[in-house]
Amino acid sequence: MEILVRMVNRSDKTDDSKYGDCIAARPDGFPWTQAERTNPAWSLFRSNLTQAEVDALLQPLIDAGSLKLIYRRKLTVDVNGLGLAPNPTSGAIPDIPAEDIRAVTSEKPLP
Amino acid sequence: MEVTANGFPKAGNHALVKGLQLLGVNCSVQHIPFADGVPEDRPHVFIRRDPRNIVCSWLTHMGKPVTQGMFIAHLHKFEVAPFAEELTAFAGWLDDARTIHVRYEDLVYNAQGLKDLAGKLGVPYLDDAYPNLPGMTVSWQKKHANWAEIWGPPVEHAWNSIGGPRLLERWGY
Repeated sequence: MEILVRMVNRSDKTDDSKYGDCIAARPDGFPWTQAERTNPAWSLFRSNLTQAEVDALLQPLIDAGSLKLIYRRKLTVDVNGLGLAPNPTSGAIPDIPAEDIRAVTSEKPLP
Repeated sequence: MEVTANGFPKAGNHALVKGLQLLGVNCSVQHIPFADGVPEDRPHVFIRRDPRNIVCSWLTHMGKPVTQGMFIAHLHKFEVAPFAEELTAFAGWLDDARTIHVRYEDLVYNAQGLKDLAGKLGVPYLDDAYPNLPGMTVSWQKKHANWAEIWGPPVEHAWNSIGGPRLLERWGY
């Protein structure tokens, strides 16, 4: 699975897209757009995470009572801890083993 | 290999699916009552869990406090109907000979549950499967539901009044 991850906060708003948010996941070999391959706010990596784990990375955190969005993504991946460089990805999309992703993934603390 | 991974909501479906995927088995979360049937071209794995903890986990999932009152209220109306009625719609799977049965408690508390499941499916157990089972699913909670924390005479009375002891016996708890 190939995963697009945000490398910088898009804004200071709590419910905006943040560093370490996984934006999208697609099967290996997916034709990512030019922007997805070159925008330095993002980076791409490939991993052998399970589909259940990828689904969790894409899950927002929503207040069950008010249905208001708290975070666009409940989990954060500390991509600096993976040594992942911002786009443009030079050459092939890097392979990062699932255990490395798991080691730097955590739940965001509630605001 | 592809399987149908099935269970009543909050019975541990996401943990089951992740566990199966860690064994290299393709599946997704399904909540299929017995009357609806399942595809016959692949194995059917059904997860069950202590019904009292299903209610507690449902409360957490819905962002509600796990209290005696909330527990009692959701016995009378779970998602759309009384809890016992909704749960019983899945009970037929417990007697289905084609179905592979998994207990949530066996799956999450030690590696043997996942090893047994691999054996029943005829796939090799992978030694990194159980260590990677906790966390990183859409519904994983750091703390497992524990009905005993809110149990007392009022809850016991309500539980008995909806036929709770019979539910426990039927579901093997």
